[in-house]
Amino acid sequence: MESKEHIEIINQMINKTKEQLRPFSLNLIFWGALVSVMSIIYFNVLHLFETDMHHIIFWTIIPFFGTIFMTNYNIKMGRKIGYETHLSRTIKIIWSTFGIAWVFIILLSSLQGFAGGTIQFLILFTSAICLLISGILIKYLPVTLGGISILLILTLSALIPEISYTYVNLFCLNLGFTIPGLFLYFHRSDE
Amino acid sequence: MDKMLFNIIRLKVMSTLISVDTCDFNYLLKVTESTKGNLSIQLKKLGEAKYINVKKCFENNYPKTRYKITSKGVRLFEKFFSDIQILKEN
Repeated sequence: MESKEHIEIINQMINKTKEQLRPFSLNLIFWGALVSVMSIIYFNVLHLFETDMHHIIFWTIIPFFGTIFMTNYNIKMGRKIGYETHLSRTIKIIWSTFGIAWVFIILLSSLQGFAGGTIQFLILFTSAICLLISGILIKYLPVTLGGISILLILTLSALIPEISYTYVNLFCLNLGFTIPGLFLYFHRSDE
Repeated sequence: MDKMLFNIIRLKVMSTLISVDTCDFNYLLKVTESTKGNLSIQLKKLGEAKYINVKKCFENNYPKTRYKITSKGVRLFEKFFSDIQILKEN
């Protein structure tokens, strides 16, 4: 076999490996939609919550089951695809770190007695940073803009303290997660 | 020139593993368009020469093997690639 054929084989093999970003897009859509629905429910049944523990339970139990559901989905997709690229591994590490950060924010906030707004700010801020890094890594502008839009909304909410948490959550989750997720889902679906 | 990578299946395996972090046997079978037996032999040779790491595990009670290129494998693959490029230019 000639050296030209060797190079051709190497090129062919490398080109066969495509970045699989559909699972990542579905993760964004799922979390964007879930937390948006949770926010709407939360602010409509807020009067039923009597202690801080009720709020903490609401914001931990549902995301906990969401995490189990999505982890199961991600494992199944990983098996189906059969390979993991360096980029998808990096994205996985970033969002696993966010998951750990989220647990610590909830845990430390309950110990420190932080207000709901502070917890919400910390979680959204951390997610915005993760979105920014993910968007830059996968070189996909809507995801990067999603992270920037969450940071802008958080800045606005700090300047307008009377703004409702529901609106902050809904805008952040939909602009940061659901919409970029949908863009990514349809953009990459042809690969 | 590295004799190990002159074999077409081994070259295909190494080219695939250089572009992914890890992958399983079925994926390698698909991309190399080889037979199970031949691929197993070539993977065993690559594993013995420490070009790749082989990790065996169980998923849903079924044995599953995952493959990952080693740093030695990366180094030798890069050298092989630069050697064939020089050869092509000459």
